[in-house]
Amino acid sequence: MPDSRLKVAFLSLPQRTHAVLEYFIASTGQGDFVLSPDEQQSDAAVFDFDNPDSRHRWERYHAQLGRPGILLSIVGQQVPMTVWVQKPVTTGSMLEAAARIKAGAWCIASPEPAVAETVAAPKPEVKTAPTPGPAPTPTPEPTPEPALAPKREPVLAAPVLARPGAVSVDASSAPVSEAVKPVAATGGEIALPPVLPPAEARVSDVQPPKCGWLSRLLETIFRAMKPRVTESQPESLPESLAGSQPLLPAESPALSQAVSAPAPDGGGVAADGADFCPDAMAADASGRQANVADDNAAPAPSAPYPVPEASAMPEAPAPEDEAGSDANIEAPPGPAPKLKAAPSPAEMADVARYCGVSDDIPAAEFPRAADRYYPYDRHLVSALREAYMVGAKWRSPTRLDLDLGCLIFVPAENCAYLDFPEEALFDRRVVSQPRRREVRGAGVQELFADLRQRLADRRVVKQPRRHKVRMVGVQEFADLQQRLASLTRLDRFDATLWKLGMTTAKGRLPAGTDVNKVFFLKSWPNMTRFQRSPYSLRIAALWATRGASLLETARILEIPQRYVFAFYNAALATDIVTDDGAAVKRSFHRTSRNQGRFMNLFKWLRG
Amino acid sequence: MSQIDHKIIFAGPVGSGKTTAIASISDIEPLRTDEIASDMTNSRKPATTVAMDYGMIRLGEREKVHLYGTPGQERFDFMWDILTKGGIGLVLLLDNTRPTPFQDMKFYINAFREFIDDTRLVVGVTQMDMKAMPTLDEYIDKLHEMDVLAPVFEIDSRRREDVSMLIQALLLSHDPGI
Repeated sequence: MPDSRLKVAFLSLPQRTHAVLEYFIASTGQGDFVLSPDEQQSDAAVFDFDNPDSRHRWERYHAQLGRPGILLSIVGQQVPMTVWVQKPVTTGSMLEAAARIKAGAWCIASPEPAVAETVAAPKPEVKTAPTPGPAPTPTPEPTPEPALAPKREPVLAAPVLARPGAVSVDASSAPVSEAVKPVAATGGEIALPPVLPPAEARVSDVQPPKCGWLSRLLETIFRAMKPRVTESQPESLPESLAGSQPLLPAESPALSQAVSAPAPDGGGVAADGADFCPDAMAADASGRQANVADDNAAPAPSAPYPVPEASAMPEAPAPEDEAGSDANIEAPPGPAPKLKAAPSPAEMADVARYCGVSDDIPAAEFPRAADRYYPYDRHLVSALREAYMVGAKWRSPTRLDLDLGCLIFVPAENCAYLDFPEEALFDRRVVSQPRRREVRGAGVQELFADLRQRLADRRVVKQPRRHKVRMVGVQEFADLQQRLASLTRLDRFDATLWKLGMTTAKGRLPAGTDVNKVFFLKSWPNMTRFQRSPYSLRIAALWATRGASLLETARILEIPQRYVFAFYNAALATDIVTDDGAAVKRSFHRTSRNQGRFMNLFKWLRG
Repeated sequence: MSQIDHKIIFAGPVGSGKTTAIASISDIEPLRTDEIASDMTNSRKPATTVAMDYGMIRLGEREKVHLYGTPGQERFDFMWDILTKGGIGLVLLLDNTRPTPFQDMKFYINAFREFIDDTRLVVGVTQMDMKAMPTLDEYIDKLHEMDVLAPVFEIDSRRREDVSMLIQALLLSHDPGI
């Protein structure tokens, strides 16, 4: 049985494109394609129209053999005897292209300009021929072949270029040679389209030029999309796919050394997902200068070039040199990073709310600094923590009766039901002083008589308090279901505790806390949903990987003590802090060999 | 000047949001190798990754972070070893609405165990707004049973800040003093 698969030759495809298509042909496309190492033996060619080398090879191939080709390009092209496949390529579009080539349904010479298609599909100017031939007859056929109409894939590789209902083809438009000129400037690889141009300049938004100025405008837009050529090596696939060297190069000692020490933080606010570091943005509310910006901090490496969001990108100027560019994946570096604006008064107020405004004091002064401590047990957060811990430990709903109402914590859903307003948790932070049992003066017999009586009455021997935590049984919880519907549901109870821990403490410590005791994290806090305090992510990382005392943490990270204390209080409230570092030591027995290498990425992520 | 490349791997079961996470953090239009799902996957989504997803973060002219998403189906596991080579860490995404997310987690941690031991792991749990249970605490407990201490965050793969936070945690796990 003859092999009906389409023998294709790759014509100077960029490395990644080549590797991806090779993989495709070896897997999903193996029933439709076969890779021909010899162009002479091929039925068709695959070339990248946006790559000059590939395009030139296609011209030679076509002139010499007269066989059709699959044209890969970001924007729609009308090149004779080709089927356009929009980049980035999908398996579906390649299979469809194979079907078109086999059916001879390729593009014929057309005066149409290159315009952006609304769907990832070949241009409408196609002619169905029974057999492929070197000299197709131009037949004006303005409508696409219905049978070959592209189906729209649910997940298309390049939705950027797709805009429903945007294309209208004007047969009287500029000739194809004129039209492809600006398109060629896009140059590049299949896999990675350039960074998006400004929204108003996207290809999908461009209507076909109907007159000279529109054509020039289109050309300008395409030229603006042309990326800057860099000297860096072209992108590569994973080495195993592309046969190149591993992507992770040997560590650069110089770089590592340069960035190994904590660098000045460029600031960032929680809202953008960054570690919240207000001190690096400006002096804080108390006028204290951020000690992270002191002279001891290592100089930051060269500034990265954060690429702004596509919609916010300024229109790029036309490049001065278009020659020899095949690196369309290399978008122009973004503008130099702007300095963070100083935090707003509201932000500073938030920081003060969670961390207080106290200055650092020497370690020796802590035992005498009464204002740095607060009576933890007298605060609501301690009662809530108790309910949280009991529930989490026994995986059972717990009920906490407070003088302001009842709270039922459901650990399985990490939620709590309140019969009082949520705001009261933050407004009423102090619980009533537990009644102390007066035993002074009581005789031993009297005391034991009292105990016996209590046991006999099945009363709780434990000292009665105004707040009471108890587990809720299965039946009781089932009975409560109807009532729960009428209560205030507080989702993410741990996040509430986290925040309450900070707002209660305001940068102080629970009475009796040893500032020199080494703490570890049992687990990382859910930092994507918890209230972030300054440097919380760094402190979490330090305590989760090696542990440190409170003062040591401030010293290592070169941050104010109150930020460490705020984190400690939050971690304490959610019961994730411990002085037992066995688990940490087991998990991180190996020291990272990449210290300091990720400074640029970290700064980029922080915006 | 030499080029500095980093590589971060995104793994997880089908539909956990790997492709979306890469798209939300990448500063290039990501390469996808999606194909119409022909197996049980199509009950969760119409198309699925068959080879890999690729995105990139550009840090100046000489430094790049390559983001690779592995295909979710186990039958593509031959790709996993290929993709992890040279990586600096694994971002494991888990879909909380799947029937057995803990089994998913165990499977992927075991599959990438060597890589995780050599690098770092962060776990992002998606779809928690659709299904709150199991909670993060339960994931953490299961991780502890496997002797793994890793950040576990609730994330929405569509939110750049969530994905960014995961990667920041990954980097800080390497070096808290960055």
